[in-house]
Amino acid sequence: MGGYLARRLLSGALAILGIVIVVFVLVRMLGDPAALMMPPEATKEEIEIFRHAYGFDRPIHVQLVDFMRDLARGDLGRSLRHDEPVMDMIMERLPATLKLSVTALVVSLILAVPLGVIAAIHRGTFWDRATMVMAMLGQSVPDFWLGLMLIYLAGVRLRLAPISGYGGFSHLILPALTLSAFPLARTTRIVRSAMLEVLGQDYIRTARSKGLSERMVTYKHALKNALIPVITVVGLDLGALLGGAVIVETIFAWPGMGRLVVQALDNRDFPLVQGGVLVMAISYVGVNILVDLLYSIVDPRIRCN
Amino acid sequence: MNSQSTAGRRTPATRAPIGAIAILTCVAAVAVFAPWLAPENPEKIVLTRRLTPPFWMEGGSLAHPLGTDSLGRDILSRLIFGSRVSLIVGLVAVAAGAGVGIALGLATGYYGGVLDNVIMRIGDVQLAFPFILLAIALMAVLGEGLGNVILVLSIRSWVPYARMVRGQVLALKEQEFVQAVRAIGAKDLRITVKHILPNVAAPVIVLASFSVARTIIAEASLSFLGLGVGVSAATWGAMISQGKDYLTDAWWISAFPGLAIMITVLSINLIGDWLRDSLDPSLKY
Repeated sequence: MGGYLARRLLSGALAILGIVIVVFVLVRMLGDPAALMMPPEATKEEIEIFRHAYGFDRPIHVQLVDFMRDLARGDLGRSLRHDEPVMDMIMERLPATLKLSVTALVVSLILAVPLGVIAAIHRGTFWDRATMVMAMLGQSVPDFWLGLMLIYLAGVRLRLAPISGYGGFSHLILPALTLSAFPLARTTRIVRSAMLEVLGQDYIRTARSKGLSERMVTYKHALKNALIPVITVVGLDLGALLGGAVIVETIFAWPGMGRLVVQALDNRDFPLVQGGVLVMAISYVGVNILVDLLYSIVDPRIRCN
Repeated sequence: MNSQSTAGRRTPATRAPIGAIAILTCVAAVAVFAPWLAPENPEKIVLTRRLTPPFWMEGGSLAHPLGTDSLGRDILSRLIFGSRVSLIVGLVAVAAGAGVGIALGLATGYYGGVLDNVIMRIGDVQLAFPFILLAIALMAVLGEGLGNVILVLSIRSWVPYARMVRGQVLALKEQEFVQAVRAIGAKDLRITVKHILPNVAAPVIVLASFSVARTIIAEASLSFLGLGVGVSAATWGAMISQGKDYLTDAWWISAFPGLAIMITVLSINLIGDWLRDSLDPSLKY
């Protein structure tokens, strides 16, 4: 177990390092921040002073080494545009993204498990087909379009919920619904297939032949085992949620990490992009390692493999 | 099969999704024959008729069955031309990504060693991150354009193919038929391409069908963010974006292209499901 964890942590750290280097190089190819930051009448010398002040005139590998050294001290640098420490800006925005993605994740799990179980138990019936059609639709709809249509139908026409901004619970409804569509659809399908597979196992037949009620067999024996693959999906979902958040936050003017990074890309705000990307990569890799560990605890068959 | 319990139930023989295949054929035909099918030039701007609603609404007319956008361009014509971008990007990006992924999967699985390690770690890096952000950054560096969109989206897709093919090769290369071919002196290239590759065809086809669907949505997302083929181009994603500021007055600008994406992607997903069930029942999700 210890060795496995160490290997996972190491490969996770390598992946994060890789992504940081790629993004570091990429943002520097976006163009000169001086061109955007300095007034148009700035002289050549003034631009040079700006570039020198931020160290953009040095070779890229020197900049990278510097960045890594600061990173080791927990310093992500200062935003070029806002002149605030990147760390503070991220910490200010992170709760909004967490609130949104965790809500979406919880909504999708709460709905997907019963839907998948019902579809599996009533396989081949109308309810099964209806659930699967909905799930298929959920996996096929572009999230940004779903968000806009929700804004129009639920927000503008029916006035059920606020269409943008950040505040109380009501502001969370539309963005969280939009963001949960894809994970909800995928998890429903996975619960259904897992349930169907488990229901075909010998131990279920044993449970039935003992004379247990169908309810007991379904919920006590089958569902417990069927939920194991769902744990892995939670890790995958987080990736979808972080990615989806980038777009959903833009549509709903949600002040989270996704929007912060997209705006920073627009502004060529290198330190902010790097910091945002780093935090997203760490959360994604971290959650997936946790999920893997959880998986091996819940399912002893795969331990230490 | 006459079993009461779920235990004995077998997957029923999978029926071909006729509806989905028909819809996708129609979309493909529309894309191919767009210039003949579209009522007018999709770029034709007529400001006097801007924001005309669809024909069934008050003020609508059959001259513009799905209405016009904020510049008075005909939505139906733009929708018809938009299908070209979606399908071309979906197919070419997946083909390129799958090709690279398969080649790398064969090579890493067959030879192992440092190459295997390096390539699989690169794959890990890519999967460790929501791709849309990387795509946004890459598109910002490369600039708009069809070729760049295809390039960026094919970079997205090679990893799953490489991983899957590699896994299959690892299992297959120890099998007797491969050893037999090796014993009669076949070269590595021949062994992998001629004897191993056909055995991984089924899962690759299934994976490819789902990635076409996902790639179409990814292209639309990039276009929506203004990082696609071109801001004013007639693509479904860009059309949704052009309508987003007019949602209250003219919902149809954004609604129809989204429906088009959903119907196309849904058909592809249904076909993918069917392919998976009939080609490779061992793949579940």
